[in-house]
Amino acid sequence: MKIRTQLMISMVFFGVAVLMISASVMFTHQLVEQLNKQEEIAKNIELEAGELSYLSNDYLLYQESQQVDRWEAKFSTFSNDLSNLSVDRPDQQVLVNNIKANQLRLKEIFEDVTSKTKSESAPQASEGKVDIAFIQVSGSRIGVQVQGIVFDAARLSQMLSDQADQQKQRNYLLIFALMGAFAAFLLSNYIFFYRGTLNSIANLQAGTKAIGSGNLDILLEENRNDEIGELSRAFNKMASDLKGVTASKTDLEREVAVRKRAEETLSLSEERYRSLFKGMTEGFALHEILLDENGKPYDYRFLDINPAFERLTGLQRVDVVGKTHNEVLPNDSPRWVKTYGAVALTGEPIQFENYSQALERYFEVFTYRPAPGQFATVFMDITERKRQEVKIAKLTRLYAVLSRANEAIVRIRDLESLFTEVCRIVADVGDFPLVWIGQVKEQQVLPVAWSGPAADYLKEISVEVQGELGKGPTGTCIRENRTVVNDDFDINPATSPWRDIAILYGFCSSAAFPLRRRGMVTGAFTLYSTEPKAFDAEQVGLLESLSSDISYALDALEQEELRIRAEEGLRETRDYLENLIGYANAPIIVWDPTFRITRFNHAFERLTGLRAAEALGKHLNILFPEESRVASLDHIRRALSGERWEAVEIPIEKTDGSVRTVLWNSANIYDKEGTLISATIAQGQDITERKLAEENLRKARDELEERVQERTKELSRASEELAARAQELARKSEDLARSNDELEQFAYVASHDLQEPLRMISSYVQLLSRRYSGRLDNDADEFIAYAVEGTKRMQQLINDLLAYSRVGTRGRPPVATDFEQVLSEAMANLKIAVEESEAVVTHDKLPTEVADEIQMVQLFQNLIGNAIKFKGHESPRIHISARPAGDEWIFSVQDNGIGIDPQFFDRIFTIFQRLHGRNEYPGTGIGLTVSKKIVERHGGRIWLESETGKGTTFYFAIPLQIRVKPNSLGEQIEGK
Amino acid sequence: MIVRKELNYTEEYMATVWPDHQFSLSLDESLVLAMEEEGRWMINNNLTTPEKISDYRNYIYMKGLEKVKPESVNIIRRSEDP
Repeated sequence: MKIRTQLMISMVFFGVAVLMISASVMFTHQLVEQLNKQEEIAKNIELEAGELSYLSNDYLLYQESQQVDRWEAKFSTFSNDLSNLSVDRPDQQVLVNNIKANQLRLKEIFEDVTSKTKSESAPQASEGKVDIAFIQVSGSRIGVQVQGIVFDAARLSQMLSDQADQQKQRNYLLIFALMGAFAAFLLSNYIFFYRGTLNSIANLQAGTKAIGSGNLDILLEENRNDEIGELSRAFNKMASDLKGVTASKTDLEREVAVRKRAEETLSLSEERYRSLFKGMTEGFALHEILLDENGKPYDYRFLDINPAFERLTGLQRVDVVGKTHNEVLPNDSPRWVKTYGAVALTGEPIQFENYSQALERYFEVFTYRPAPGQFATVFMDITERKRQEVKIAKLTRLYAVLSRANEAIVRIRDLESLFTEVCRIVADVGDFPLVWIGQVKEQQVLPVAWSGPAADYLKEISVEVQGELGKGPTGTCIRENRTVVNDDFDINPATSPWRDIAILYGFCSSAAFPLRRRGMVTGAFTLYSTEPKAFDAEQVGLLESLSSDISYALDALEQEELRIRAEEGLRETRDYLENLIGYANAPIIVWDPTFRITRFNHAFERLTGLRAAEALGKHLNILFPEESRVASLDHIRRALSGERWEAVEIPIEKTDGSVRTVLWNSANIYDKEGTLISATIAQGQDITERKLAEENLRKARDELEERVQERTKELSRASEELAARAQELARKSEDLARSNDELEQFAYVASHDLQEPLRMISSYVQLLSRRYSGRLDNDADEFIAYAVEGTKRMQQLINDLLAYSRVGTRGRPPVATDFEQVLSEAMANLKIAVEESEAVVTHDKLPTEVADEIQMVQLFQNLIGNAIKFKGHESPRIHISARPAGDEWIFSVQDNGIGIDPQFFDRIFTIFQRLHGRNEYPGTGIGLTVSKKIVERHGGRIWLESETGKGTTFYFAIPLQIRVKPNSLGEQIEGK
Repeated sequence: MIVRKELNYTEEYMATVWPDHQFSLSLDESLVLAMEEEGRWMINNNLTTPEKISDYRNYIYMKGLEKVKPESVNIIRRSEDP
């Protein structure tokens, strides 16, 4: 069966199955729908029956028309639903019939109730209402019917639900069956159709690949009757046809293998030769010779070259191959063409060395003829080897130059000859066309020696150290103290002044080496060569050695000359010194380590009276007087042991027996090594007269010193006495202060303690006076009155004494005090006295000063109180003022009172001193004493000016501690 | 917002309880019954002059809700109603 037929049958089968199953599913679905609908109606009936029941009850309760209306409406709905209920099973039909029967009875009962409630025959309650029993019975009847309906409807609903479930299950089964059928269809299709077909297609694919790779013996199975079978047959036929028209694969492979081997062999051989051609270190070139019309070679053409050719010649392949020799190397020697032409024409190979002008290189060439009219060259670059040979020859010559020049340096002691000989050796042995030595003179380099065939060159040139003619190698070498090499006269701009002449003499290069004396350049040694760049580093090194050797010779010759000159100078110096010592004014003597006199000048002759000839070679002893000889020799020994004399007095005995005092300076003269004393030189000064004068002076000074000491002793004594007195004074002062303190303390304690017994005496005396006054006799009254008066005075005295002692013991520390305030407080205390006496008190502006405020109030109170108390016939006028004077304030209290006689000025400040009787002026006489003490406690003083009958002015001064402007006190203030 | 303001609740409280409420709109028979009960109570307590309660269905407009949500209208219609 064909694949198409198979496919169609499968599709039809599958389609029928699907249709059947689908129809079944749809039918079942409709049935389920129908059942669901009936079930819903049954449930509605169930619900409506319930509603009818409650509507009935409602009516029974209220019997209103609305309930009836509603009941009927609901019943109508209920009836409609019931009529729509349609079942097919007998058991269900039974239930429907039951419901219908109950429906009819329900209707009847309700109508019965309504008719009865509306009719007059209905049993009425007492108040026009339906009878309860009737209502209950009717309710029960309706309830029974409704219960029946509800029960049946519920059962019917359940039945219909079960039936619908059964139908649904059936439906699910059908759907599963449909899916199973589809799966079975797919599986059978795969098993019976696809597998076979896919296998056959895979076989066809493999066969096609085999044919593609050339295998035509492939044969596929043809046992299928379908389209695959037809394809297999067509494939086998195609393979069989191909076999007929194509050569066999074996033959083809064989031929391919043979050809491949031949190609590989050829390729290998070519590769080998190519590798050799490329890899060989020798240059290789193949040429064809070019002949003129006479058959003579005139040029040749490059046919091929190898990489070594490019490397050795520096020429590129593209610039060489296909071109002629004249095109490639136009400036090269035509000798090459001639030589190679012979090889190409004769076939005789040759080998030779040659220099290529164009390439500036030496080559070793082997030439042979590979084919008629052609020649091949194999060559090596031997330039380096050639250059080394030339260099070695030059160095060998230079070593010989150095050796012979050194020999000359050692041998010749004359500078001029040495220079000439060195120049000759270098020019002859070193094979230089010109060698010369120049010395600097006034900025010019003048040739002093020269040699070589081109020596005349020097006559035509001049060289200087500075300027344009100093820029050449020789000038630069001298100026900069270094070797200068000129590689090429042609291109070196520094050689421009001499270039033309140098080229005329065949010079190509030159080198100049500095010649030094004591490290300073004094000239140059210059060489010339006919080759450019003739002086390489090694040659320059050797020639620098030569120039150093010449410099050394210059130094050596100069030192020799210097030595001779030094010897001459030394001789002159010695003669000069001899004369200097011999004729010096000061006596000079020299002795050797054995104390033998070796030199003795004219001044010494005059000093001693000895002749030099008598003294020389003698022991020093002969110079000293007998008594000081040992001490003097001891001095000299110390000098010999290295101790230097400086101003040592040694007495010298004259030949006439007199002794002279000489002040000596000496110094040791050491040998060359500086370790041993070779002699001692001493220079003396005759100080005999000076010594005498010094002696006199010393005596006068001693005398003076003695007198000074005596005077000093006296002064010291006086000073000690003074100190003792001062000490005593201080002690007394201290005692006095202590005594004062004790006295004050005593006064205070005494007066304080006296008060108590006195108070008792006073109290009892006053008691006695009050109680017994008039009861005793007149005398007794008088005595008691005296006693009372006496105790009062005694109390007053004690109080005053206490006040006095309190000034010292109870004072307060002084603070800044406003004296205006002080005055107003004092005035307040004296208010009554002022008023009674009608006193007028005025004052200037008073200052602020450091003081004990309370004591100041007391002070003012005492002074103003006194002024009021001792008034004259007129009312008292009192004026208080203050003025700064130096370092203190001076206060004054002026009055117009009775005044005081100056003879009593001292007394009035004494304690309890009174100038007037108690009856005249009351008081104990303490006020001014206290005032004085207050002022003194403040470090001040108190005094007075007074005239009897005119008034008194009391002054007191206290130290100024707060600075104020004096102007601020000018104001007059009055108070009363 | 309206409910919160009317009941004087905080915003947080409303956010907590609001999702627990389900609202439905319906015209139920119970509404008629309740109104009838109230009517009877008023008559019995002489709070009104009529001696019989009215048919309150006359005052209920049902068509609107029926049109949009017929299942919510459960008032029993009069038999003469369509």
